[in-house]
Amino acid sequence: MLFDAERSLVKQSYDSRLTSSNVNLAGFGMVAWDARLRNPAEPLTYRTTSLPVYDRNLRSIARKLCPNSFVGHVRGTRLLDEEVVSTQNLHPFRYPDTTVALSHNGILRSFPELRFALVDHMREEWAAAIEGTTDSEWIYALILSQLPSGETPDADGLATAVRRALAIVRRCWSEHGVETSSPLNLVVATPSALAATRFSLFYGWHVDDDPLLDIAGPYASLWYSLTDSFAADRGGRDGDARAFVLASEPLTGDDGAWFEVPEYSMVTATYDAGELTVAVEDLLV
Amino acid sequence: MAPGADVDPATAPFFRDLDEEAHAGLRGLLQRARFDPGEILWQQGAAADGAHVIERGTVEVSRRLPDGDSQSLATAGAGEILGELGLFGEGRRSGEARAVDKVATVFLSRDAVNMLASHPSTAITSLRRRCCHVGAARLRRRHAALAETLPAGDQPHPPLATPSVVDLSAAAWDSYVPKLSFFADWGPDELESLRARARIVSVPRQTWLYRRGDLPASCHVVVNGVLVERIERGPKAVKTGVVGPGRASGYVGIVLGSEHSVAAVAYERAVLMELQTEVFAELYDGRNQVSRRFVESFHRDVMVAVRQAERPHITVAAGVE
Repeated sequence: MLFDAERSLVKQSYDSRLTSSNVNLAGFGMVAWDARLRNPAEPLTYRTTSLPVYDRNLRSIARKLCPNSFVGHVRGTRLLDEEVVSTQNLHPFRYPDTTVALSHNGILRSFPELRFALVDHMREEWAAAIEGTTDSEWIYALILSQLPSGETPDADGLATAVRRALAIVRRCWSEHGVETSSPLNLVVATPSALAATRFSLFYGWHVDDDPLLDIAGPYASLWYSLTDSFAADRGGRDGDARAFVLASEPLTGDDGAWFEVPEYSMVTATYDAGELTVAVEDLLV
Repeated sequence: MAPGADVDPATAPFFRDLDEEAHAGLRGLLQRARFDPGEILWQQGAAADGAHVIERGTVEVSRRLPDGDSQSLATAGAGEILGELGLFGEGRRSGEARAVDKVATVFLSRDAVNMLASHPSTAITSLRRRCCHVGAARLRRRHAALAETLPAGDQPHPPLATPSVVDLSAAAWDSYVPKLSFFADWGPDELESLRARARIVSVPRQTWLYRRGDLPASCHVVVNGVLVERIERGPKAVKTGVVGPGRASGYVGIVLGSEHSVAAVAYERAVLMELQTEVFAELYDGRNQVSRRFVESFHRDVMVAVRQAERPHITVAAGVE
């Protein structure tokens, strides 16, 4: 999935088909939960601002990994001076006191001006935990703040928290009169559950001087596959012949093996006692 | 595919309904082809290079699904066209077409269409209009089939939006509207002509612009915001397409002279260019430069809508509460 697939995640750092810039050069991150490792609730976490295609450490780790649940992300940024490339800004985000991780494809426009409107909706511990400068980390802290304290949420719990967080962002932005297209494709995951969105806030509304303005631009993409082609590499564990894989574009050369997630949708997936459950619901926030 | 002799467009199915100028333009561009039972007309994922009109026999179009199953998309017989999305622009075949029995077709290649388009004539507009009609009929059939997959029963729907007329500034007409994909090739005079005939309206978020089964009074090109086309039945709904800036909505019923086959809901506040049915009819007749430009843009939009409606998740995984 990381290196070998025809359209692997690492390949998408320099040659992605469905993102607007085709390159995502601002770093790589992953969290991987493996039930066989010590303290399985704590994921193996790896982040680097170097190009993953040249990263021999990552390649070595990938060969040994056999996770139950995995979130990987190649980061793309705008080519602007104000962008900060640092490990603190790399996805997936996961704070030490939670099992929940998040990665985000997209951009919450007007975030620098309006972010403090979100603080009122965050729990203190999560607001204080923010280290980086990205909109994505603030969204992460906002979603964590909608979850019950101290529990590992199931997929429905994750989905509810994401809906609430998106509704808060919409309300805060609208109250400030800012309604500009903001793609918010989110993946929120735990060791056994996942909720993901294909969603854009204020889709179809633009400001003229937006450097990312692309009126004809398509809705940010999201695809999924229920496949055994990646699970086969995992050592043939009992009950996990199939894997649920969600990606911004098909990782294999054959698009026919992938479903496109409908626009304005929430995908949930649960892996419980060898049983994989996947659902797609409308997302109108 | 066994090649055959050239075909006279004035007698060939599908093409015979086009006008004299189109027949003249197409002369020498149509080819007859024959297929044995089980023979593949094209593979799923192959580059789309043209369209077949079936003269005799039956062709089944099916698609390999992500779960490995195969899904039958359509069965086409004499007089029907297959693969017309491949006539204009780049693209790949969304399914596999296979001859069920002995099949004879008339084949028109994309290269031939490009040649036709390079000469100043109305032939290409006639062909586009015919393809629009086929596309609209395809969408309507697809929508009807999707509705059948949903549980029976009516669900109370929110009231329809009452669009409010708004102004679009001169600056927006000059700088923003030409950036929309629908108007990508329009000149200033052509846009000015449209501006005189269209009405700009606004609808609030989460309101319904029209319902499935309503008779269309107008269609719309989205200027800002988004409409989601849905089929509602009982407690379930399927999204069939997302119509953002530069895309059109609500024309299937107008083209076919029937009711709306889907509902349209504004998922965001939307500003729309509204074309009343009589304005649409004028723009769609292909008789002047503005109309020919409109047909070209409209046809592009129909092709996008057909591709959206054929995405596998629409039929398999898009059922939403």
